[in-house]
Amino acid sequence: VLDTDRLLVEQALAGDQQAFGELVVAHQHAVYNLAYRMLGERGEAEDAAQETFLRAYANLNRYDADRPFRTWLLSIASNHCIDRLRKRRLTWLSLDEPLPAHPALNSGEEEPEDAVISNERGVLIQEMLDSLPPDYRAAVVLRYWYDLSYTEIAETLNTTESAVKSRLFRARQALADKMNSAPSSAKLHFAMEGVR
Amino acid sequence: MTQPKHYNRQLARHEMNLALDGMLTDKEQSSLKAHLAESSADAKTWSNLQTVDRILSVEPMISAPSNFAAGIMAQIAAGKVTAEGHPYAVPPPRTDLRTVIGMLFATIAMMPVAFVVMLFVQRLLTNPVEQQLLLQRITWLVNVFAQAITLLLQVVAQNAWAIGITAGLAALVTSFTTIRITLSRMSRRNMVVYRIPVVAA
Repeated sequence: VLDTDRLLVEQALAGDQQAFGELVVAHQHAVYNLAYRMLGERGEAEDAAQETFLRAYANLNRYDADRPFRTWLLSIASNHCIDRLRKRRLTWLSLDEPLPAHPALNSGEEEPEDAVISNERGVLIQEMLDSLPPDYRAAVVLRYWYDLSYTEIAETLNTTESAVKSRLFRARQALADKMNSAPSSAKLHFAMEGVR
Repeated sequence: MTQPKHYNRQLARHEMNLALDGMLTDKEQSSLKAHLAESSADAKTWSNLQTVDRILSVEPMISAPSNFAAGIMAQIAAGKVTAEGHPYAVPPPRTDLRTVIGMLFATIAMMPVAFVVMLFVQRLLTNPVEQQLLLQRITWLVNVFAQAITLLLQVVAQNAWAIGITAGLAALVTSFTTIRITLSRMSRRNMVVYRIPVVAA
């Protein structure tokens, strides 16, 4: 995969747009998932993921071929999402506006009851993630959804390993505290029964 | 025989997190396990952290919309994004020949100014008469300013209309400053999202 990515980057730098298209197809889900987990909304996640790829294309000549292309993309996406979260201002969510459905509802692979439990769990988990500061959230997402090591997370977020450990540890503690104090914790425990 | 490790709350939490990330050795794991068997408070924390870890580990990746890649490639194909001149592109560091020539010209242009300033300083430092003259001018300026303030205060003190104008101006400045501070604080306020609990039916 790494060699394929490098080859595609070289071709894209030589002016082959189709090669960059293949890179987008290969990494779109990883970037989109990161943006969704960071921002918590489908529309904004799509915007952020799109901007990530456009920034990558515009700065392709700055890509260091010694690093995995995916890590570089995730680095751009993480920093962009953190910026977006910091720039957010007071937003009013109209009661008339329908909330976006959780993706698990659109999946046809699960039985109806499983889908309901999974959806409920997904909404609660996203709520818990949304309560974390942007830096902590990024560390958690990169650790759990991308299985990155402390070193890789530090490189992606342009920080130190000790900072990553600290953010990850505090984030877990904050999530544990929230899980115990929130009125929805009982539902979450119930939803977790299926995965134990 | 090695001494048993003494855990405080901070060390215990640190090692619990390392354990979740698979960063403890077998020996350290055994030591932590023994500690958790003795401390009910830390055992409760460990249980909570394990639950968080398990919850996060089972959440699936979310897929991008089906037309996502096509949308990006359409923008690129339309020429809206290129490596040069696009706002997303980071400008290259300015270490080219033009920068060097520009700095050289700026240095040459500044030389006459620097020469005049150096002459003035040299003359001032070596001539006591010039120093005295400069001091007198500064003193004169301070005196004029002080007299102007004194005169203004006298007028204000002797006339009711002047007191009214001064009080009005002070109120205006205070209001303006308060509004500026309030607006500035509002613009820095973080986002508040009003969420509606969603339970799938």
